[in-house]
Amino acid sequence: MNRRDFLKGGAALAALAPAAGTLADAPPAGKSKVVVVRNGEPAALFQRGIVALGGMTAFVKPGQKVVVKPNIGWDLPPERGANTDPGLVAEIVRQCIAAGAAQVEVFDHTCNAWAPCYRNSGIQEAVEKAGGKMVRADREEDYREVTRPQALSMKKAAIHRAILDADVFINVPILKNHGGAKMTACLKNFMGLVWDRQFMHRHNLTQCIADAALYRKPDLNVVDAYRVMQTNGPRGVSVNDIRTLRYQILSTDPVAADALATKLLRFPLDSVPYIHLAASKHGLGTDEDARMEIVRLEA
Amino acid sequence: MGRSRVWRVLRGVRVALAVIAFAATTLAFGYAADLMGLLGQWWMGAPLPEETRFLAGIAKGNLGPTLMAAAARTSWAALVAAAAILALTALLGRAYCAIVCPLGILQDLVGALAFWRKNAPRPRLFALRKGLGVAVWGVALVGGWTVGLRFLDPFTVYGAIAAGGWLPLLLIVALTVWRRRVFCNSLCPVGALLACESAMAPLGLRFTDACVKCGKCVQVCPVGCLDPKTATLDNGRCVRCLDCAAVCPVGAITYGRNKGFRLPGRREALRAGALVAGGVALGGAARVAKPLYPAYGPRAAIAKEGIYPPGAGSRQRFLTKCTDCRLCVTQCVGKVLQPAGTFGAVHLDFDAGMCEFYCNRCVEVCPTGALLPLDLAAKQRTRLGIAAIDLGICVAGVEGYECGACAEHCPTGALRMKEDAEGIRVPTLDARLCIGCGSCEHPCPTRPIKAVRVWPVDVQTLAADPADVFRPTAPTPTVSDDWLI
Repeated sequence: MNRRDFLKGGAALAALAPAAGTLADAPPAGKSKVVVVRNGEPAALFQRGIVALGGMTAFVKPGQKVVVKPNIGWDLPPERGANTDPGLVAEIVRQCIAAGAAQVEVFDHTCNAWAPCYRNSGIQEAVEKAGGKMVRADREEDYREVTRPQALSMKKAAIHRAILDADVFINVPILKNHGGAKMTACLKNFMGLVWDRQFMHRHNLTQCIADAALYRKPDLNVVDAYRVMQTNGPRGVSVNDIRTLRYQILSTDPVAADALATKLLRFPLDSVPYIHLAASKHGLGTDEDARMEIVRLEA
Repeated sequence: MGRSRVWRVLRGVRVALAVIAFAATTLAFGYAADLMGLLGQWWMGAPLPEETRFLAGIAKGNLGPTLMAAAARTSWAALVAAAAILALTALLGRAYCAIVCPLGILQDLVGALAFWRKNAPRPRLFALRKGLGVAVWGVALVGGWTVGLRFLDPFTVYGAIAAGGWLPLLLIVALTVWRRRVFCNSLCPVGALLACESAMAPLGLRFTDACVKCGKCVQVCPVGCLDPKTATLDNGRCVRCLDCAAVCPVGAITYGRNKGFRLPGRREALRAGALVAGGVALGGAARVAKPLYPAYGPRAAIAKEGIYPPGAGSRQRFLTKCTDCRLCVTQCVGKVLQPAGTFGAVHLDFDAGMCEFYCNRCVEVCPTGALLPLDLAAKQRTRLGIAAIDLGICVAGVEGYECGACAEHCPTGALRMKEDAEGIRVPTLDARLCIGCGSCEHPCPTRPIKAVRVWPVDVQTLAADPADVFRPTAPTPTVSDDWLI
């Protein structure tokens, strides 16, 4: 059943709705720790927040290969808030190297032409200065096919080799409104690992976003919510789309981070349906406040 | 003997300059960027910053495109460049053909490889040149229509070869193997123009009395411009390759007063006047016929290939101004520009890519003036076409799955997802803002027909400014103690 059919039958189902909550899968034991930091520059927010999660050494062991996946989808400068802040990405790369990482690769499967995206986002220069390596993602030969039978729509996908080969995967999205998916943060950022994005758009985008997160569990998620694109996302039309909130969310649980991120955009949680799908269908995390341990910090 | 050595050195300089110009021109057709990418990958694992755009400027030093640009939009830079080339030709003869022209140098290269055959063009082939030259330039400069240059301008022909065209390459190789630089003096409109000037210039190459009539110069001359038996050297045909002077064992070729430099006789003047009058008349006829061409052109091609690059102005203007030199095609960042084909025009193909919003490289590199100069801000509002959504095949419209690939990519906010009566968010177009860049059509996932398609417009107009349409969102909350999370 697709969503249009579902809505048509919605009135009949409304009576049964209160019972629906009990049908959800049993959540995993324990709580997801989410660190929310605010009032600082993106790099400073990260420096403050990562300490509360045990520091970078809790995630990166000496000699490990790290992949950092920011959002570099658009040929736009940092102030437009369409791509992850370059200072934040560079700080993460620096800390990975300080923790002993053998290599830190950074990439995104961009929407605009990749070279201007890498350059004009400021991320290429920042990452290279910090000692990381920018990796192209515009060629199909850099992707390998992976299957996930438990996925409900995208049961196989070609995933970038940097993700498949890495020991540690750090997911660094920027929080934005999104025309198709309503909101983009941790889970939506997985679309940049996948070669065939059109498949996802064609075959129930919401479900495909939840499915995409099955392909590689992130070891750490860092949501850049310093500049938040409130409207016209994910590309934005001008700086008028941006609210400068100066927040950051850090968690090992991408679902919890996304669930909290909806509050920064002032969207109801159920207006971003893939968050609940990832929690209930795939058990990738929790979207319930009661199952989160939220740490609030000032930078 | 000393004289021959000087010529050999000068010839060496000519070859070196030609190799540099040829390499730079070839690299400008997209190869420089690829090379930088490869070298970067090899050296440091990441592509080098792509600062090779300036190479494309070499196109603006080629006489064919430059004269067209001067006529197409009264470009002062193009006028100065054309005047400089013509002034230098008055002094040095057709050195341009041996040092700057990429097609000329290509023929020299092929000629050097075709060692088994060294036949120079036959004089009777040269009769073609004047009539063809007058016709091409009459139609181009008086008629304002590049149709002749499109197939004969040497820079354009070389562009087709550099962009990977096998047919023009085979034709040029065949001509070169047959009669060396026969193109330059029988078909080339630029050669025709420079030949008139060079033949009448006060200075030129000629034989001295020292000539022993050994015939070595005839063997090396690629244009067949000299005859030691009669001690004549046609400075109109000569491209100043200096091969003859360098090979001469007695130093019998010298630079000095051009024997052809004299007032034309009555008969010659009449013939020249008639030729020019014929060219002007043909140009006038072309001017009258020009507006008919787009209508007469294949309608199917216009419907399918009717989206032209920014600065094209209108279909009618662009179809008659562009020579299809493919510099913009090979430089296109979004890989969306496609070559013209035989009777079409350079166009955007949104199956191949989309027009990148922060790029106006095609406008920057266009050497012929077919693309009018537009700064980035103006280009970002120039409407190349207009999008139309078919909700009957759209993923959101048919299946109710919110897709949004089109709205996601739209750079101006023209296409946005809005709730329909059933609460499904479907793409909605604000036509005021649409610039037809194809950012919607390119990522649209429906097949075989895309649900969002950009349709041609006859005239490129200015779309609304997004800054006028979108107002700032709610002000940023001042920092307070209340946590948003």
